[in-house]
Amino acid sequence: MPTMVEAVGLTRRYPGASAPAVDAISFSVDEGEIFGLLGPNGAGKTTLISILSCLTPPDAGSAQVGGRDLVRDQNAVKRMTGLVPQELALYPSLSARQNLLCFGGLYGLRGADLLANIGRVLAMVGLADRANDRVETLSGGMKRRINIAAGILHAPRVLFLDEPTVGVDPQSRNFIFEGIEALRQAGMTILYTTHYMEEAQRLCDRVAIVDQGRVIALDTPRALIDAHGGVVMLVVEGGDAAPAAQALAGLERIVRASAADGQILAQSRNPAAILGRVVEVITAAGLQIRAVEILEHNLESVFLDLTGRRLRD
Amino acid sequence: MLTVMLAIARKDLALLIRDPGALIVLFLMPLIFILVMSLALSGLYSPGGSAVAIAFVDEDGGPFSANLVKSLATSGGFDVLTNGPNGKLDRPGAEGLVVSGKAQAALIIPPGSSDAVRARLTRSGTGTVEIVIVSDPALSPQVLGPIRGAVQGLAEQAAFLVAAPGGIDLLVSHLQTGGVSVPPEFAAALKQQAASGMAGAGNLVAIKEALPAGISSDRRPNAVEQNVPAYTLFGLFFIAMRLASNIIDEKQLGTFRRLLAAPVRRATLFAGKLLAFVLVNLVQVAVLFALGVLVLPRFGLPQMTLGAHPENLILVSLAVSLAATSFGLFLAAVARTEAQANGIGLILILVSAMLGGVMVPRFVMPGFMQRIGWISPHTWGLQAYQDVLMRDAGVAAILPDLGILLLFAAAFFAVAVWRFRWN
Repeated sequence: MPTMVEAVGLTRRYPGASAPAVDAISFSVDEGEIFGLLGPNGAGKTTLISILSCLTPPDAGSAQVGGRDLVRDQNAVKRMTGLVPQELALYPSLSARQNLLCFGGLYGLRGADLLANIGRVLAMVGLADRANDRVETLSGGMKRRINIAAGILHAPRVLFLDEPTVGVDPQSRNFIFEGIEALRQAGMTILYTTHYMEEAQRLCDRVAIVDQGRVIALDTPRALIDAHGGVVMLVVEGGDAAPAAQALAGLERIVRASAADGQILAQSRNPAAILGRVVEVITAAGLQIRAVEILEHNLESVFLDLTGRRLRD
Repeated sequence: MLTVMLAIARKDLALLIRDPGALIVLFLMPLIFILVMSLALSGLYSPGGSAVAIAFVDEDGGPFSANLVKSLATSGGFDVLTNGPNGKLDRPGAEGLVVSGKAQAALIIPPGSSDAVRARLTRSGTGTVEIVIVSDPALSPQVLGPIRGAVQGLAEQAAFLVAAPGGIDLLVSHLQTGGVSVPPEFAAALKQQAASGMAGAGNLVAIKEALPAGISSDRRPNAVEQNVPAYTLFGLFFIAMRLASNIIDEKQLGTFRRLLAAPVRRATLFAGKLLAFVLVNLVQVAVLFALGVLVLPRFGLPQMTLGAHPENLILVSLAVSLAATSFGLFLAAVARTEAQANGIGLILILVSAMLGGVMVPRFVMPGFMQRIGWISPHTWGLQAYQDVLMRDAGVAAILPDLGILLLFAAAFFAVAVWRFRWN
C-alpha cells in the first residue's frame, strides 16, 4: 500500500505554553487505512490534526499528504483532505442542505454535481429526510452526522475525524461507525482521533497512542494489547509501595509491576489469575488495600500500563 | 474563485435574513430615525412661516420703487423693513438682516429703475428693468418660491403704474397728430384701466437672485434632504457590527476552521463576506431613499428628489459600503468577543456620525468642529450624497469624496488583514 500521510518530527508549541502541544511526532499512514490517534484530552491530537489540515503551521518537522508538502503545497493538500472538527462546525440557523451548499461551494462544487454529492452524503449519514430542517432543530447525534457529512462532501482522499462521537447517542454512534466503515470500503484514508479505546479498537487498523504531545506506542490494536496485556491496579496505603511493587515484579506470570502515588500496577497476560498472589504480597509488606481493579486486555490497559494514568482522567 | 465567493456570500445572506435583530438595526432603526427626525426638525431646516420679513433697499428713489414698497406693505403677506439702525436701509445692511435671519430675503431696487420702466414702453421695449432678491442659501425653495412669485406680481403692477401713463400719453399724442381728437376723460380712464387691468400681463421686470456677499452658493438641505441621506449613512455603517459579529460567531462555532481548511485564499474568503454585506447595504439604500421620495411627502414633509444623476447614488453607496464593511473587518480583527465588537463599533460609529453631520448638520458647527469632522467617513459620504441629491453632481464632482471613502476602506481593510487572528 502506498503511503498517504507521512509526518516527520512535527512540533508545535503555542505561544506562552510551557510544553509543546505536539512534540516531534512522526508516523505514516497507508492509503485506505484507518489510523487511530488515541490519547486523553489535551494529549495534542487536535493540534496534530490542525497541522495536517493546514490550519496551524508546524514550528518544526514536515509532513506530506498524498505526496504533497503540507507547507509548500497547501492548496493541493487542502483539496485532497477533509476535516471533521471536534466542535460542531455548522451554521445552526441554516438547514442541513444550506450548510452543505456553502461547504461544497468552498471546494468549487456547484450545480447538479453539488446537489448529487449532498444527496449522497446525507444518505450515507442517514439524514436524507432531514435535509431541509434547520441544524439547530436536530438532535446532538444528528448534528454530529451532518458535521461528518460536511467533511466528506467533496470526496477527499484523506479524512481527518477529530473525536466524531463526543456526546452522541448509541444510534448515531452506530450510524457513524457504519459510515466510516463504508468510507474505508470506498478506499478513503482516515485519521481518527478519540479518547474512547473501544472505538480505536473496533475501527482502527493501527493506533498511535499519544500522550503529552508524543507518540508513546504505535501498532495494530492486537499487537499493542498482546504486548502490554491486562493490568491489576491497586490503591494502597500504610507505607512505601515501591518495595511491594519490586517484590511483585519477581513473581511468575507478572510481566511488569510499578508503584506511584500510592498506586500499584501489576501487568499480566491473565490478571484475574494473579490477583490472589498480588494481594498476599502487598498484605505481607504491611500495606492496606483500599481498592482493587482488574483491567482485561484492551487499549485502556495498554495506556494505563504505558503512562500510569487512565485515558479518561 | 467566483463559486467560492458566491457560496460564502449566499450563506451569509441566508444567515442575516434569519436574524431579526440584524434586520431591525439595519432597516427599521434608520427608517424610524429618518421619520422622527424629519418631522421633529422640519422647522429648523426651513425657516419661514406665516410672516415673511423682507428688507427693502431703495436705490432707485423713483415712482417705481415707491409704488412697489407701498404694494408690498399693503399686500398683507410681507413685513417690509425699509430702515436700518443708521436710517434708510442700504444693500450691506439688508444683507446683514438676511444673514442674521431677521429677514428671509432682501429686495434691491437698483438706481434708475423707474427711468428704465418708463423707457421700456416709450422706446419700443429696449430698456431692461432688473431687481434683485437676496436670500440666505439656507432658505428652503419652498419658502423662497412664493416670495419670488409675489414680488414678481407686485413689481409688474408697480412698473405698469409708472409706465402706463406715459404710454397712454404717447398713444393719445399719436392719435391727435392724425387729426383725431381724444376727450381728456377718455384718456384718463384708459390710463387707469391699463394700470389695473393689464398689470402682470407682460414681463416688465426681471428678478435676479443673489446671495448675501461672502456666502457660498451651496444650497443647504431641507429636513428631508438632510435626514434621509444622513440616517441612511448611519444605518449603512451599522453593517460593520453585523459583519464583525458574523466573523466572531464563525470562530466560536468552529465553522471558521472549516472555511480555512478549504482550498480558499483568505482574500477570497473576506471578499465573499464583503459581497454579501455590500448587497445588504445597497438594499438598505434603496429602501430608505424610496421612503424619502415616496413616503415622507405624505407626512407633509418637503419632497426629496434624486438629482439630475441618480445613478451616481449607486457609486456613492458602493464607496460608503466598502468603507463600512471594511470597518466591520477591522472590528472583527481588533475585538475578541462579540460584545467588544458591538461596544467598540457603536462608540466609533456614533462619534463618526456626529462629527460627520448625521445628527446635526456640519454647517451649524463651529469651524474647528467642521475641521475635526474631516476624519469621519460619514462627512465624505454625506457630502457626496447631498452633492448628488441637491447639486446634481456628476461623477467628476463627487470623485474626491469617493476617493477619500475608498482610502478609508483600504485603511480599515489593511489593518484588518494585519491584525486578524486566523487561529
